Amino acid sequence: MTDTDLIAGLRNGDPRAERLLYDRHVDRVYRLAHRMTGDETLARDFTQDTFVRAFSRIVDFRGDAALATWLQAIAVNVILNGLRKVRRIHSREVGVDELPDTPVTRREAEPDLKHRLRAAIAALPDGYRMVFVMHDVEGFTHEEIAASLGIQPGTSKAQLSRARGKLREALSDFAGEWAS
Amino acid sequence: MTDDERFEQFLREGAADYEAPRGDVPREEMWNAICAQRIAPATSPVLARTTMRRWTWIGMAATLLLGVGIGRYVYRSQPTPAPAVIAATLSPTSPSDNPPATPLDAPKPVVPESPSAPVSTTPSSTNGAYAVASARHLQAVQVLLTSYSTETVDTHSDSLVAAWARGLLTNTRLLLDSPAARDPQRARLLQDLEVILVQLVQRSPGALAADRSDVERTMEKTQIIPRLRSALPTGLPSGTD
Repeated sequence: MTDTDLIAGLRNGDPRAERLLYDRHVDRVYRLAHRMTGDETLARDFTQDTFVRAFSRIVDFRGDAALATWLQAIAVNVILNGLRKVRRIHSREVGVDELPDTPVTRREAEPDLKHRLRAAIAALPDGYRMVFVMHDVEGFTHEEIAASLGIQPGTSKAQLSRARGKLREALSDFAGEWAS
Repeated sequence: MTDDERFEQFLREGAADYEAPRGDVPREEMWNAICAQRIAPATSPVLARTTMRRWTWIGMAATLLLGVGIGRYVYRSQPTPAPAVIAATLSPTSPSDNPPATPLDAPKPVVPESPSAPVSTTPSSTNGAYAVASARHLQAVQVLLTSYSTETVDTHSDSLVAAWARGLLTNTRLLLDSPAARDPQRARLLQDLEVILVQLVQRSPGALAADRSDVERTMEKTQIIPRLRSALPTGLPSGTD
């Protein structure tokens, strides 16, 4: 089924079209949500929210972007907003001073480079981490990232560059090890 | 290869398994949850279960009450034929004679008997549709929280409560992102509801008494049930009888 037929089916509320959209994109949406949250429950919630919103907003889809890109933009929005709300909820329960800046991660020095890399990625601000995960981990192009985030491809490249710079700074103790 | 290129390659290889999901994507479970949310967003997903338990009947009764209540609310909100008729039938305790409405952000420990002013729910307003959706949603949450506070708890009911709360949590978040949250009082109410629903969702089956008391403490601290009663338009049944 082409995207045009799929969109027509979705607008008509065709269950087969909805399931087809879901099957085509759920893996990628779920993987991105899981990588951003590190939590299976949140990843499921955000994935479900993404598709619920997509099905309810398909009438607003203007066709000026690919259907996959439009869906991905919804997913990114759900994930980023969801992460902010999770932190706000945690701040009420835990107290601002105890609030971790990132998903749970070990912050003490780790001798292992890979563990330090993991912690450094988790410590990135959400926006930088999203661009880094989408590009370097999930393989999205800058055009896809830009369309998802509502920015220009050049801005996506700049943010990726800054994210990598922050990671390099965080791993400065291991400078040169990645060269070996 | 430059140093930058080597570092980028290291990043790609080193981060390949960063927070990667373990096992297969739970496609069918998520699809079922999506369908449940779309078909019956204000009721417990236990309607799909074959075993009818007490929480299921409460959810169904709440849905029936909601349907009746919304119908009565819409009917009462229809324009009346003539002002003279209205004046002739005004109750002696018209809203203008009542004490000022209790603001949602400063609830009193004892709920006043006179109805408080609803939060922006006049059907003639441009947000009439969202107001009705909000009222329906708040009604469903009120049923859940009131039932949670009064029902006996066991492991199975904990699971049902979590599943029920999960559906309501999705709708709460949708309302927070919608024009329904433009009203500051409603937005604060929805935010507090979100906190409580997250606590209910995150509680594991057979949760310790301490976990349960955390939820009850939050409900008490936020005075959520009196605020829900105050936020619902007059004319809707309380749903808790």
